[in-house]
Amino acid sequence: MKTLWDMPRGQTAEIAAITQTLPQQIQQRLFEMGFEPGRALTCVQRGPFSGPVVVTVADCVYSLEQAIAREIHIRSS
Amino acid sequence: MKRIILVGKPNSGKTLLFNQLTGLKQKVANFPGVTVELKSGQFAGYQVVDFPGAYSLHTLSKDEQIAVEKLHEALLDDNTALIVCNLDATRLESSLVFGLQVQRLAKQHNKALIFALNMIDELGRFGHHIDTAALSKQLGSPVYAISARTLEGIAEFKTALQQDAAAASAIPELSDLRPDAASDLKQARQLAAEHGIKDTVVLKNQNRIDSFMLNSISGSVMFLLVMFFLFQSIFTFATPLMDAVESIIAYIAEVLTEALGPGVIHDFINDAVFGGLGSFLVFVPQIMVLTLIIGLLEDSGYLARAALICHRPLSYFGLSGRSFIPYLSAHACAIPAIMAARTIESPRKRLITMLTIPLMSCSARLPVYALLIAVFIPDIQYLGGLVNLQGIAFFALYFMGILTALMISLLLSRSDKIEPTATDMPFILELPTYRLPHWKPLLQRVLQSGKHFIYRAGPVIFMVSVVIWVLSYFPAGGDDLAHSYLGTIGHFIEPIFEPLGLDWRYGVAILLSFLAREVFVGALGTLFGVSNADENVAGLAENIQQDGLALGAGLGILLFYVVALQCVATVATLKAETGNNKLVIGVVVAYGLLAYLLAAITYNLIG
Repeated sequence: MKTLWDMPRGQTAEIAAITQTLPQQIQQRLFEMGFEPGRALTCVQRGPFSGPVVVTVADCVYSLEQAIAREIHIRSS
Repeated sequence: MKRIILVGKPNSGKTLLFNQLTGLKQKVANFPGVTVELKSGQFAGYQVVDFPGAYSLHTLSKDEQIAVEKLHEALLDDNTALIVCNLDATRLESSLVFGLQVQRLAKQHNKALIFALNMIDELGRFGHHIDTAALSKQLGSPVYAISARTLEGIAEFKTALQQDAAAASAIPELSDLRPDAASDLKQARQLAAEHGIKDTVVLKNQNRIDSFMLNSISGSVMFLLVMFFLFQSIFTFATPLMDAVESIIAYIAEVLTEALGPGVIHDFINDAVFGGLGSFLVFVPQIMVLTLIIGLLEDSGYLARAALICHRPLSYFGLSGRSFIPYLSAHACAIPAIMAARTIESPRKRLITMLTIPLMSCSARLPVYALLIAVFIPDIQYLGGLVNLQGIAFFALYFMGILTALMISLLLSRSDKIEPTATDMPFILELPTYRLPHWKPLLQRVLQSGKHFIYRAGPVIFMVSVVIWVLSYFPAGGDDLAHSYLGTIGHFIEPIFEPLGLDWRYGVAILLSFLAREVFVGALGTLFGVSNADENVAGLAENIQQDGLALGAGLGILLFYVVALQCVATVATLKAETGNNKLVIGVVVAYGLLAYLLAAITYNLIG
């Protein structure tokens, strides 16, 4: 399945799932930030040299490193 | 005094609201710096406390943990009259996620809570309006629309604040609204969807700027330019200010000593007071310029972008992009920087960052660098004064410190002794909106940094100056330094410094600077002042030049000061923040040995 890390710049997709094996506190925070299944997110920027990816979700812009972006699964909306 | 607590998510205009309520008379608990300060001020007979911003009561990093602990304490305190939860009207959902958690907590403790819906001026620019009466009814707590920037609604808010604090009538009634924590989150989303502005409208400008600022090429160039400007300005822009301070001190010294006439008191005032303390006060403008630029970067929103750009490169050395901000502010002072490391999500990376922060060239090293650069590096200008050779030398020394820190981080990250059991938290960082900085609070912070520096180091330097002067003036009466009390002590320790090509006077100055680095300049100032009693106190660099310090020895001192951890306050802060005394003592000894070794090698290679 595709993840947030695979999104090209400018693309919008829908969150499919968050990896369930992530530590509980990280899942909780992602959920509070708006990373919940069914919600739309847009990739604003790809960091240079595999640097953090920049996405908008809910009303905020976040940058996430590869290790966590790979745990957010998406489907095209 | 009864207290009003101000909470909210980061970058929501909370601190600006605090400034509007309390004016400019504020007390900063802790050290001033990025995200770790707890500020308090007064408003209408209440003490107002500005809490550090937090995203959630479910904490991820140490700084959030501390903020939430403090909030719990405040809620249990009978003196807490009212909680003000600041919301960003342009980001209603993320503000309310935290806001509703706090509201529930306030209810559980039977504390009154009101919402300040801040930044409605920005909302107005997008042509959006929020029905505060309806929102207030749905939330079950009063909501006041304000703009702390344009002062819209502030007068009404101040009146309401006094009423609500006195009556405590704003205790939230949420039992009929929301049954549990999960429904808080749902409610935040629903209210935002109903009242909030669309994110695509609000974030459009920010994302357009970021497509330039975070682009691989333009972003990197921009980053390097900003960093170069920062380091260059410490030298270039501060010079006129430093010259001014120097002339003022020299003038006062001249008037005073002339009025006194020759004698022991004249010598004491000239050498100990002006020679010692004066040569250190000259560097206060540089510290203030550095604080100003870091403040500008922080308030404009660029620091978060810089952290993002640095994340990948810093990862190679076992650090996080969040290490960038403590590293940067460590160039002003290591103490707030070590505290700012609380924002680093991963405990392992946080510890490595804290242990390497003292290698950043803090402002206490500035006097030492500036003095020795003035001795050895000619003042040559390039590009019409935009770049100068002394500035480049400064940059090289700062770079040395950063490079050493990265190398040691790499070593530490390979060790399995550093927080082996802790969960490695991922790097997730919010990119705030770009904003124009507000001058008043920024300038206040700049003044505070200067004051803080003087108050912290001043008394130590003055005491050391007096002691050195007494020991070096007697029993010979200032004519024969080598046979004074200090000379005797100095010759005893001279063998330690011989491999570095330094005589006993530098040895004494270096040893004393283990109290605080700035003491080095003050101590040398006093020592050279005693031996050249007729010279102008401001000319310490010239005195050293005439005295003939070898180039290798001078560069050795510089390297020594880049690496050595000579600051009692930093060691104490490290102990408190890491809770590991053995580790901290180990680091102090290791940095000391490395510094000594580097200085000895440099002297023996260059001579």
